Amino acid sequence: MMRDGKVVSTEAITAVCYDDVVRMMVGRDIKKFFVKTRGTRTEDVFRVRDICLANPERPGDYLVDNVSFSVRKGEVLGLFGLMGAGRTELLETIFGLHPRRSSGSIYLHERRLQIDSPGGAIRSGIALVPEDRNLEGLIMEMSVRASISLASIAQTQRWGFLDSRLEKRLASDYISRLRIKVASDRQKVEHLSGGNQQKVVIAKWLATKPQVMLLDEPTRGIDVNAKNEIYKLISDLAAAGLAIVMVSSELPEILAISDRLIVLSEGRQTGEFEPSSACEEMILKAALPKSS
Amino acid sequence: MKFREYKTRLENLRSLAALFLMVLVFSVLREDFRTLDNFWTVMRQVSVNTCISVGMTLVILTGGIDLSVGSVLALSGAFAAGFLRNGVEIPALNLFVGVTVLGSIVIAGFVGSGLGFFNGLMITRFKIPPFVATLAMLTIARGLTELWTGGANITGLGSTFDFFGTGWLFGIIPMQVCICAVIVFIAVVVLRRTRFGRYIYAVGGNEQAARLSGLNVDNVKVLVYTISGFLAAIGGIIVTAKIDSASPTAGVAYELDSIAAVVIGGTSLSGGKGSVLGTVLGALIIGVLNTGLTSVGVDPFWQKVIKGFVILLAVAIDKMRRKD
Repeated sequence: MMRDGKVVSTEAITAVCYDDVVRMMVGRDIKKFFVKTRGTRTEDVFRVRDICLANPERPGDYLVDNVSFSVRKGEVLGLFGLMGAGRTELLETIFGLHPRRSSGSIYLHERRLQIDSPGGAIRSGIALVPEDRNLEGLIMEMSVRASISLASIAQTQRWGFLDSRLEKRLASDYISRLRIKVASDRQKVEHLSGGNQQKVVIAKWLATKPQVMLLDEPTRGIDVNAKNEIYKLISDLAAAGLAIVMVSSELPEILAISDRLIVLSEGRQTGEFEPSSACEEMILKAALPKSS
Repeated sequence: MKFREYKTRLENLRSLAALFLMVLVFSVLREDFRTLDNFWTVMRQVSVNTCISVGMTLVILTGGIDLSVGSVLALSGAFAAGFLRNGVEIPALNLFVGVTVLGSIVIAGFVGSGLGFFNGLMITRFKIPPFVATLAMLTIARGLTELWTGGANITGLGSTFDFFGTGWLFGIIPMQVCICAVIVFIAVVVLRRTRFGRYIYAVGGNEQAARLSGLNVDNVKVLVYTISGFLAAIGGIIVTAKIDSASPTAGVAYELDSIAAVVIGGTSLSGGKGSVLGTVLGALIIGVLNTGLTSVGVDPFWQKVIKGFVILLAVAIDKMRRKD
């Protein structure tokens, strides 16, 4: 077993069980499920109404079919569903990626937003951490420093010229805040571990100072240790007042981290649950496609 | 931090070493190679290619390609020459306006930029692959050049205009080299220190990630092709001024040398990786190779074969290095 570049233990495979492996990776005993501190009730800050996304390949068919929800300040809204349920498409639509095929309204602090591009979404205070960090979240050949400032370059430039001091300060700030393990901020992102790469993506989005954060499977492909760090991060962000929407296909994870949970199936909203009182069977039932 | 940075510098250093080696070899073989006169000959020969290769670098960095630069060069030069010689004549209004040297250069700039902009539009709005769009423009612009010149050269452009291709600034540095140096300098600054430069690398590195980060990918692309067209026009001015003649066959196959320079310089054809200085190095290597082989008496046709192998060698070495 290796952790942080050092060998921490050597065991025969038959002598260890799953929990032991997890413990050795993390360095301390962890509860199987992360326990999130539940926030107190606050006001609605982010609301979407009747979001629809047309299927470009089948006219009349919708990838997202009249989905509406609202999120309070400091709340984590979980979005659960199976693959193909339309969760990613929903987030993408809200983020302005499909302006021509979509309809619906989005409100931030009761003010209607007109979002027709990701740039517009960012300016309105919305951030999207995409599902696949390799394909959509990161530019592999870029340095950590450049990656973190990419979505908020307006802050680190003057008259079109980049200010490297501001950039460096921004990067160091997030590297320490999110505990991103890098040899230097000039290191290319492709050399980082999955967990650290995801932290860079999250840092990039935090740098845009959003009020709403959309997370699409943020812990996919990340080891247990880093997963926990990300859960804590999400919890901290919510505590700081961000409205968070998180998509996940891991039921235990989403039950642990959400304040409220909605389920998507075949593009439609099929249920809303309270994680503390919900039973897994009901949630899964809501997620299964009806046409089967 | 140091090691990773030095690695890229090292790659360029190896090309630099190769360049020095070539210069050394040719200087030893031929006495007239190691003169200042010859140095400027090489520099002047390399100027036009460097100029258009800077534009090509920007385009390739975004993951595209511009095959039309040779033809755009020709058309821009032809427009400049044509307007300079004949002015603007509108018989219907009984109007004749002479065009100054500056005016002709501005016109060429607009022609080049306009054609480049058109390329950009085809690629972004109509989603035509860059290879196809610029290939079409290559033919279109060449045809337009032949139409505009009527198939013949336009000559007699005057010493002021010709100064841009033949003159020596302060008597010591050839104009072409100056123009080229300024362009290289601006390009290096833009790519390294500006937001636009950062966006170019982002779009080429991962277009979807760039888009999701809020970048206007289409705008970046259109601008980059426009610049390429503009720089091709500058090349056209230099070429036309150099021989005091706008020829319908000017710039033929220039895009090949340009792409070769970019590729030898270490820029990846898939975009996101590379530099203008690398391209300059690539152009110098090609220039020294051409001049050196000529001075040693190698058949021009063999030179082409050798140049081709140099390109293969350069890229193969680059790919092997990246494997680790």
